[in-house]
Amino acid sequence: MNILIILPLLPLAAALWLAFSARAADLGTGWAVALVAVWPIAVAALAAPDRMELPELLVMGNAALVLDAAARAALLLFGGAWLAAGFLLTRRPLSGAGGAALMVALSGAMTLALAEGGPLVYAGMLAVGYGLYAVLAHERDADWRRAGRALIVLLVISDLLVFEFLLSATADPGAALTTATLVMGLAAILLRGGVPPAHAWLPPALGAVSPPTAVLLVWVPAGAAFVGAVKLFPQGAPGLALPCLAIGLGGAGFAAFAGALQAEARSSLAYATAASAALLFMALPAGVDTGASHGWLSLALLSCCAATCLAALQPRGWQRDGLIAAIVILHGLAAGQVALHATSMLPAWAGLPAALTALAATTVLTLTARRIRPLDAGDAAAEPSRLVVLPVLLAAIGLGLAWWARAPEFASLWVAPVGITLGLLLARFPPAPGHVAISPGDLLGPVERAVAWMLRRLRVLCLRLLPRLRDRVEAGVLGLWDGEAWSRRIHALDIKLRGWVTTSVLMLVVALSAAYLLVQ
Amino acid sequence: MNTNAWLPLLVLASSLVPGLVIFFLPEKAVALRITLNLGGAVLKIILLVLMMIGVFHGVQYEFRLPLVPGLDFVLYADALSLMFVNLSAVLWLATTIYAIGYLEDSPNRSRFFGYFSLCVTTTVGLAMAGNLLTFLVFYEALTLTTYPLVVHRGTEVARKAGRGYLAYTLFGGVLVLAGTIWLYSLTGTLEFVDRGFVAGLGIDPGVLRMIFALLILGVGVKAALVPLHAWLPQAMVAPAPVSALLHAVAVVKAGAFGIVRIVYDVFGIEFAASIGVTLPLAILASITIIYGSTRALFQDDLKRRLAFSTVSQVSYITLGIAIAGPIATIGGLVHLVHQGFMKITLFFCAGNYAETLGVHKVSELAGAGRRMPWTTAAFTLAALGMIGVPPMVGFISKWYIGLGALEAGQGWVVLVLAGSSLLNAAYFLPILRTVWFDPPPAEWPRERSFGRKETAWMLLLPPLATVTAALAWGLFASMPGTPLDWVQFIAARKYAP
Repeated sequence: MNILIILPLLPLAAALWLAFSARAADLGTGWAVALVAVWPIAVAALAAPDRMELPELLVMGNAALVLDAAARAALLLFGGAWLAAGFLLTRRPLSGAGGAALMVALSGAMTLALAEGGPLVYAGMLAVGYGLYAVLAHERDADWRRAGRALIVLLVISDLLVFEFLLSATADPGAALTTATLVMGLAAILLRGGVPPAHAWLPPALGAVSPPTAVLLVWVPAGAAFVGAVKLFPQGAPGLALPCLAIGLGGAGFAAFAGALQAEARSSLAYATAASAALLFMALPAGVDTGASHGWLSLALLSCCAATCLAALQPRGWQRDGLIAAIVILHGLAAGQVALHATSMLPAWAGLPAALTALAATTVLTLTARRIRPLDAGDAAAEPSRLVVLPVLLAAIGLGLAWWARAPEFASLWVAPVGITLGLLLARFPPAPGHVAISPGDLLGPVERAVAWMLRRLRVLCLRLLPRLRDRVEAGVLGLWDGEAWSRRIHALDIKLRGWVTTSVLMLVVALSAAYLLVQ
Repeated sequence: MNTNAWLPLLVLASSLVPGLVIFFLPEKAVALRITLNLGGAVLKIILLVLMMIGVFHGVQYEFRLPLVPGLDFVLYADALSLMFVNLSAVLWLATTIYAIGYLEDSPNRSRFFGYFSLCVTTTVGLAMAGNLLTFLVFYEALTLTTYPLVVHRGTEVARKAGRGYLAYTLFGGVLVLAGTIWLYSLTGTLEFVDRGFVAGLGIDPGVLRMIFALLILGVGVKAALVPLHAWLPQAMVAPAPVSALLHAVAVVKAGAFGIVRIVYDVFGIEFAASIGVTLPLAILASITIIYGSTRALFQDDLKRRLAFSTVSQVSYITLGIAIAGPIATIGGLVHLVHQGFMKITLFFCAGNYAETLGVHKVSELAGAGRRMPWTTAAFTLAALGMIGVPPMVGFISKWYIGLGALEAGQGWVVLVLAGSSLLNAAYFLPILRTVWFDPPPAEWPRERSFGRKETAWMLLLPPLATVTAALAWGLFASMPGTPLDWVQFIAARKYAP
C-alpha cells in the first residue's frame, strides 16, 4: 500500500476508534492525536516525491494524491498544528465525539495537503472546515456559539463558492479561468480564511475556547484556505492582483488598528492572525511560484501566530523571552518575503502598499506578543517550553525554504525591524480595560442583527403565511370531493339564479338573441 | 411466449404472491410472514440482477397482453425501468427488515405487510409499464395500496392525513387519465418509445403543451411539486417504515419516475424542449426546491422536516431532466437512486430515535448521539449527503446537475443548487450539532432498553447498510457497477444519435 493513502486513512481509523471504543479513554485522546500527527511530519521530512492515481474516486476520474513541495509545506503545517494540539490535550482530554471530530478534520487536512483534482481538494476543504466547527462545538463554554454560528455560515457559503468555481472550471476545461470564476474562488478563500472582513468570528471564538482549540483556530482555517487556493488555482490570478492588494492592505490595516485597541491578548492575537491572513491573501494572485513559495510562507506566518498563542502558556523566564523574540523576527522576515512574492504580479508602484501590508501584520503580532502576560513557574496552566519550539522551528523551516526558492531582498528585509519597533512602541499605549473602542468581533453584531431580522420575517412567512395559503388551497381541493359541499354550492347557485338580477339578465340575453335571430 | 417475456411477470409476482398470502396469515404466524417477506424480496433482487445482465447485453424483456384493439397491457424492462425497479427492490428489502423490528409488538401486522408487498408490486409494475395505459393502471393502484399504510395507525389524525392523501393523488390520477385519453385520441398510440412518440405527427404544439401540463401536473402530485405537495408532510403521521416507503421507495419516486417517462418516452427530450415545455418545468422544479428547503428550515418535528426536505430533493430529479442535456440527465436520474438511499437512512434514523428514546422533535434530540452513536453516525452521513458534501452520493448528483446546467447554458440553475444547498445546511447542521455536542437530558421521553446495544439490531442494520451504500457509491463513483455507471449507460441510449 502506498504511504500517501495511509495519511488520510489513519486519522479516520483513529476517529472510529475514539468514537466507538470503550478503551479510548485509557490511552487518552491527546496521545492518540499526537501519535497520528507525527506521521505527516515524518512523511514531509523523509519521503521521496510520490504520486498515487485514484481514478475511481469521486467524479471526473482525475483524482490523485501527490507529494510535492507544496504538499510538504501543507503536511508540516497541519501536522504541526495537530501535534501541538495533541500535546495540549494530554492534560485536557476530549470526549469521544470531540476526539473523533479532531481526527476527521485531520483526515480532511491530509487529503487537502496531498490532493490533486478539484473534487478531492473540495472534499478535503469541507472535512477540515466541518471538523474544526465540530471541535469548536465540543467546547464546554457556551460562549463559542455566537462565533461558531458565524464560522459555519461563512464556511457553508465558501463551500458553495468553491463548488461553483469547480463547476465553472470543469465546464470549459481547455480554456483559461475567467475573471468571474477567479473572483468566486478568491471570495471563497477570503470567507474561509478569516481574511477581513470575514474575520469577525475569530476574536470571540479565541476568547471562548480552550488552548488546544485556540491553537487549531489560529493555525488551521487560514492554512487550509491557502493550501486549498494553491491547489485550486496554482497559477494564481494575475488579473486580480490589484483588487487583492486592496483587500489585503485594507484588511491588514484594519486588523492592525482593531488589534491595537484590544485589551485582551487573545483578541489581539485574533486580529494578528487576520492581518497575516490578509497578507497571504494579497499574495494569492502570484500563485504557488517556483519551489512552492506561497506554501512555505503560509507555514512560516501561521506557525508564528500559533507560536504566539502557545507562548501565552509559558512560564516567565529567558526561554520564553527568547522564543517570543524569535517569533516576531521570523514573522517580520516572512511577512516581508510575502510582500516580495506578491509584487511579482503587481506594478512597480505597488511595492510600497504591499510592504505596508506586511508591516501592519508584523506590528500587530509584536503588539500581541508584548501584551501576553507571563505565567508564574508554578501555575497549573503553564506548559513546557518545547511546545513553543515546535511552531517556531516550523516557521524557521518555512522561511528558510521560501528564501531557498527566492532569495530575500532589501525590500523584504526592512519590514521586520520596522514592524517590531512599531509594535513595541504601540505596546506602550495600552487601551483601558473594559473600554475597548472596537469590541472583539467588530462586524459580528451588525451582521447578526441583520440576519436575525431576516430570519424572523422568514419564520413568519413559513409558519404563518404559507400554511394559511396552503390550508385555503387544500380546503378548495378537498372541497372538490365533498358531496355535501357540492350540494350546498348548487343550492346557492340555484338561489342566485332565481334572484331577480339573474332572471333579468337572462331575459335580456334571451331578448337580444331573439332580436339578433329576427334581424338575420 | 419465451422465458424473457415471463421474467417481468415473475418480478411482479415475487412481491404480489407473498403479499396476498400474508393477508390471510394469522397475527401469530411471525416466522412464516417474515420468511415470505424476505424470501420475496431476495427472489426479486435475484431476478432483477438476471434482467440487468440481460439488458446490458441487449436482451429484450417484454410481456404483452392485448386488452382492446390498439391498446395492450405491456410490461417492459429497459435500462431506465430496471434502475427504478432495482432501487425499489433493494430498499424494499431494507425497509422490510426495518419494519419487522419496528412493528414487533404492533397489531395488524399481516394487514400492514400485505399492503406493503402490494405497494411494492404496484411500484414495480409502474416502473416496468411499457405504455401510458399500463402506467396509469399501476399509478392508480399505487394510490389505493398506499392509502391503508398511511392510515395504518387508525387515529383521527392518520385518517385525516389519509383523506388528504387520497384527495390529492386521485386528483392527480384524474389529470393523468385526461391527458392520456386526449393524447390517445390524437396519436392512436400510447407506447413508450426511446425518443417519444408525439414528434413528427403534426399535432398543434399548443395542444401538446396542454397535454404535457396535464400529464406533468398529474404525476407531479406524487412527485410533490409545489403547490401539489401538501399531502406529503401530512402523511408523516404514518409509521416510520411507511414514511421511508413513501419518500424513498414508492410514491414520491413513482411521481418523479413518471415525469422522466413523460419527458423522455412520451414527448422525447428534444421535442419537449422544442415546444418550450422544459423551461417552465425547470422553473417549477426550482421553485419547489427552494420552497421545500425554506419550509423545512422551521419545522421542529423531525419527520416533517425530512418531509419538506423530500419535497425539495425530489425536484432535483425533475430539474435534471428539464435542463435537457445528457450530463444533467445523468445528474437527475442518478439522484433518483442517491436520494432514495440517503432519505431512507434519515427516516430509519428518525424511527430509531422515536422507538428507542421516544423523541420526535428536533428540539428534543440534544445529546442523542451519545446514547445512540451508530444511528447518529448514519444520520450524520446521510444529512451531509443531502447537503451535497463529498464523498457522499448527494455531491455526485449535484455535480452532474450543475455541470449539465452550465453545459446547456442555464447558469441560473447553479444558483438554485447553491441556494438549496445553503438551506439544506441551515436545517441539517443544527441537528448534527445538537445530537453530538449538546448535553443529553436527564431522562429521555420514552426510553426503551436494549441491553448493551443502542437499539434492536433489526432497526440498526438497515440504516447502516443504506448509508454505507450511499458513502461507497459516492466515494467510488467512477467505478464500474455503481448507479452512476448504470445511469451513464441509460443517458448514452437516450441521447444516442
